[in-house]
Amino acid sequence: MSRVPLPELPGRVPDSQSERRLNAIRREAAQSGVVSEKGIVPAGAPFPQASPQTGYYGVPLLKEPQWKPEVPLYFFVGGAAGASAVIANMANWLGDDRELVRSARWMAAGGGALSSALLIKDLGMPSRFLNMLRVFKPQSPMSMGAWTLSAFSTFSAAAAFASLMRDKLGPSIAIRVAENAAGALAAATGLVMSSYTGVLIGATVIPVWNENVGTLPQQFAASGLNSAASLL
Amino acid sequence: MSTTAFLTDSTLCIGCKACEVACKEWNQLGDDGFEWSGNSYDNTMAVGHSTWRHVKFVENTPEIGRGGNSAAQLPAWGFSSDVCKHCEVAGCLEACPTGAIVRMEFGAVFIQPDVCNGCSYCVVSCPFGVVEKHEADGRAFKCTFCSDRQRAGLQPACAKACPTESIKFGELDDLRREAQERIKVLEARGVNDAVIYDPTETSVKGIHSLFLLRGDPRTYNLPPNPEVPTTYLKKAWQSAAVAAGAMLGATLLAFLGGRR
Repeated sequence: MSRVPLPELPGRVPDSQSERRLNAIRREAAQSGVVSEKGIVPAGAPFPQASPQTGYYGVPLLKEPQWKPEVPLYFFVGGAAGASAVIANMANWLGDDRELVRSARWMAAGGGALSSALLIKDLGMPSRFLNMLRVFKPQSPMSMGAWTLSAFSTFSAAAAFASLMRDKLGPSIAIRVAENAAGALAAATGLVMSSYTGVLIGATVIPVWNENVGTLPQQFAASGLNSAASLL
Repeated sequence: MSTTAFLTDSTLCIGCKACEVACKEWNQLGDDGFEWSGNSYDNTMAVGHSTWRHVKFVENTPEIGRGGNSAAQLPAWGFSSDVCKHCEVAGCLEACPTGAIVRMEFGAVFIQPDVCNGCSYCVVSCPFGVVEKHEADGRAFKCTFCSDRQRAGLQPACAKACPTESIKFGELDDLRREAQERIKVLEARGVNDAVIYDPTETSVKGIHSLFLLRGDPRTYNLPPNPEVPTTYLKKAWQSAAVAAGAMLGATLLAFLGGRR
């Protein structure tokens, strides 16, 4: 039979001081009905205060961004797709690797389509995504982005299609002109695609973003180019 | 057309929340959750998609002349009813990519619910944290300045329901004057920390919801220097142009280098 160990007793030794204190508490409680010493702190105290330093009870002054995870995901996809189009254009112009051009064109086209899908899914009312093209508003980075993405998706898909036709039908003049033109337009809009996202989040009221507005577009472009290069 | 405005005088507010109730009833807004905040008697905490008027409860230490309870146990209250500022240069309006947010004839900033597609870019473009997307509905909502009532020649619901005339409604210029006079009256009574909140010096260029507060506006979660995010655009696009140039240069170098 195993012995159950006795529970360990608390180690504090009572002394005259501790007993005096307990008597004092008893006396005060009997006399005034309340013990006023510190230590009687309600749960949650100290309570937050409204002050110039903490603001209104520490409640954030600004609203939190309400974008779903699709938007940060789009930042990667869109950035990589845009940079792919740039790489495809350069490889087509200066390189001799047809395989690289083909992969880059398809990545740009696929990324463009995926970007649109992600952004439409993020909308509160996805059925109204065409409202994005109601107005052309240079002072709104979101409007510029919507137009850029529309143009980029179109051109990159056209370039990918032309490159497919070139592989199937041979490099006739018409197909090569179409591919080069669509590819150049895709690259031009791709440059915006990779960098405008930095403008999009930089030109907001969120301090950590707008304080770094001078470097965010460059970071986004560098990230897009790196992603595209590593994927290819 | 006249340019109308609110003047919300926190020295007259008694914290009854009649404006919140009137706003919700007139605009038929839903509840905003039933949660205890633990912060004073305010369980709403901020304006949002279903709260377009919100009474802030600022507790001050009891002090003679501040209206504190003489028992020295209850705080001196500072109340202030918050609302959309209807900025002269509105961040939400500038940012809206669908054109859903428009300027109404009275100077109000209005979100057209039949156009908004819920991109939530206005949420991060409002320097006052007013606009909020209703997650279940999908669209962004905020105070409409009771444009429907104003068209009918009536004052907004909150101003009409206010029992102490803490929420005044009228011509913007008249109210600016009225606020100055009120400051003088308060100073004559020994209240010397009253200030008018009207950020005309910032990129917001003024608001259609003036506030008369006591002390620092930050205590009431009002930014001392609200900035419209379009002020960052020039720097941002310049940076994007540099980025695009660098991308071109980098890819060009990569392929030119590869040829050798």
